[in-house]
Amino acid sequence: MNRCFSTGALCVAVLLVGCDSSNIDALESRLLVADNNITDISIIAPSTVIEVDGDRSLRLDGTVGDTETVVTNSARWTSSDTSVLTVSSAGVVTGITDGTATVTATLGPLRASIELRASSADLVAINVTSDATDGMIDECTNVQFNATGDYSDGETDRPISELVEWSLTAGNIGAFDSSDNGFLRSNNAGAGTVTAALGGEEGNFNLTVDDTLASIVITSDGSNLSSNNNVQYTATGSYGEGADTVDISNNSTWTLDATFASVSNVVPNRGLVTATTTGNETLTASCGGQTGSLDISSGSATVITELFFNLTSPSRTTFSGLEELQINAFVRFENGTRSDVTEDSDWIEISNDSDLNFVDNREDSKGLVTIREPGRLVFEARYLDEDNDPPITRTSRFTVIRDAP
Amino acid sequence: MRFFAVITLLCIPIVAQSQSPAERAAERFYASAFLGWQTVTINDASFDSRMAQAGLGVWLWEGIGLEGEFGGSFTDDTVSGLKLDVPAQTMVNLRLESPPSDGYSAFVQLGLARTEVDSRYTTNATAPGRGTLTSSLSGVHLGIGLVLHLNRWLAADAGYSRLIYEDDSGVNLFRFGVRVTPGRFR
Repeated sequence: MNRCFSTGALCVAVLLVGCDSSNIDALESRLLVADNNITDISIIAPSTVIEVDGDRSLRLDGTVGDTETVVTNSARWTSSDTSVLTVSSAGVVTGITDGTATVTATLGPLRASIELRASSADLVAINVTSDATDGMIDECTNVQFNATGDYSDGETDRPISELVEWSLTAGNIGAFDSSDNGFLRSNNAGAGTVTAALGGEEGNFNLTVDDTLASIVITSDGSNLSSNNNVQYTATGSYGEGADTVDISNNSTWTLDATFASVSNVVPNRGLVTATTTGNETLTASCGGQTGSLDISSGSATVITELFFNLTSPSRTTFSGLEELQINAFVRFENGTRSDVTEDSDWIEISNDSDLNFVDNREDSKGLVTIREPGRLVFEARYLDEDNDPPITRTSRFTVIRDAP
Repeated sequence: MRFFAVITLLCIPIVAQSQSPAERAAERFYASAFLGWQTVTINDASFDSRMAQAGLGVWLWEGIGLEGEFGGSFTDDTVSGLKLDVPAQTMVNLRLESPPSDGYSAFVQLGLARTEVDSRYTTNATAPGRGTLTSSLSGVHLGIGLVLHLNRWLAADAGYSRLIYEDDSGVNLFRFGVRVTPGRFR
């Protein structure tokens, strides 16, 4: 009987204890603000007018010192009048009916508001502008287009860049990164027409790309290409004597006729070479009728040539008092790259004058040398090279001598 | 209020039992008290506090107990000007305990837990949005530990508990204390 009663009590208690949590989002916001030292927030709106039955994404920036960090999804968003417009937890505003409402973002103790107007007026014209001086740019450079709308209620210049569909309706002069961002990367000289379209309306911009690119030079990021190290190559365009050079990597078409590696032609990683094995080949980048080339090679990233330390051995020290010295062990591969194997190595004392001096071989502390009194400490890092056939242990020796005061 | 409801529910069988003349039945009930420390983690932020707990339990079957525990922190922690503490923590557990061997038993606790967290700002505390906010976390309680049986009615108890609320939110709790079985005082 008692057991039945107790089991029943448990069930009721479970219902009492196991029900809803509350205010967790608010607490998380407080902790986010405290943890990141966010001192202020501000709402960034693409437009203060929201189309009825349309969506606009608001962004919330948090001020951390002199920088801004995006905290849009961490805030609590509210609308003062949800019959006019609603706002989602991700800051997406939806126009419901004509009117105005205030959208407020709350993040812990911080609050920011913006007054927005929902409008059902019809779009009657689209105006396209760009940062291209006189509608001309150098070939293989980029240009940002912006669109504004004129409406049937007399409103003009409402920003609608992210609402329109961008396309190149004439001329083979380049391509947009995507159809909704208005960012054009040119890759050929010539004349073209950029079109922004929305709701049956179109706005056009005539762009001329000048044939000014003189040459292309390819450089690497300085690291060695191997099967475990991708390399980003950069195509730099020169526009004649005295002119600035420009990074045209993401405007260029990259080719690498090789089986050991491939090169990306996807923005924003054009020129990124990924190797699967060793080999040599010529990498080319072409844009605006110019081509640059570079011979590249992929070395072995498994054949180890040496085990070495990040410090040269301090044979004599002038340490005073307790000193800790973190030694890291690295293997150098055939292709010149290196890998930290500090935690993969065994750290073994060879000789030691003092029980108070030692090198740590415990996990997460490997290679940490503690010097408490004068004496000589000799130790080795031992790394098992399992890629060698047969596996061998590579060693490197380190000596620390602390002089008597 | 929920705490009192839980404790009341758990006490009803005790009252009923205390009216029973059967000594064996009386030995099924136990009370416990703990001290410990806990780290509450919410997203990437964590804060520590010392805590105290008291509990009541009943052995449903040999080695299987049903217990309710209640406690809270008696210290607080401050994260960048935000002071946090745990005013109340409630757990309802099933306790699975091994038979004593050399005076020791091992146990596992499975149950539900609810933790209330108070947060308040140490500066400008009266400004809008900066007052005390009480938040409740509800989730699962998993615990393990050891019991040292000191005599027939007294045992020492030490364990670790993990209260799981969300993927990135929970409590790590270490505690030690005593468990008393009043029915065995004789």
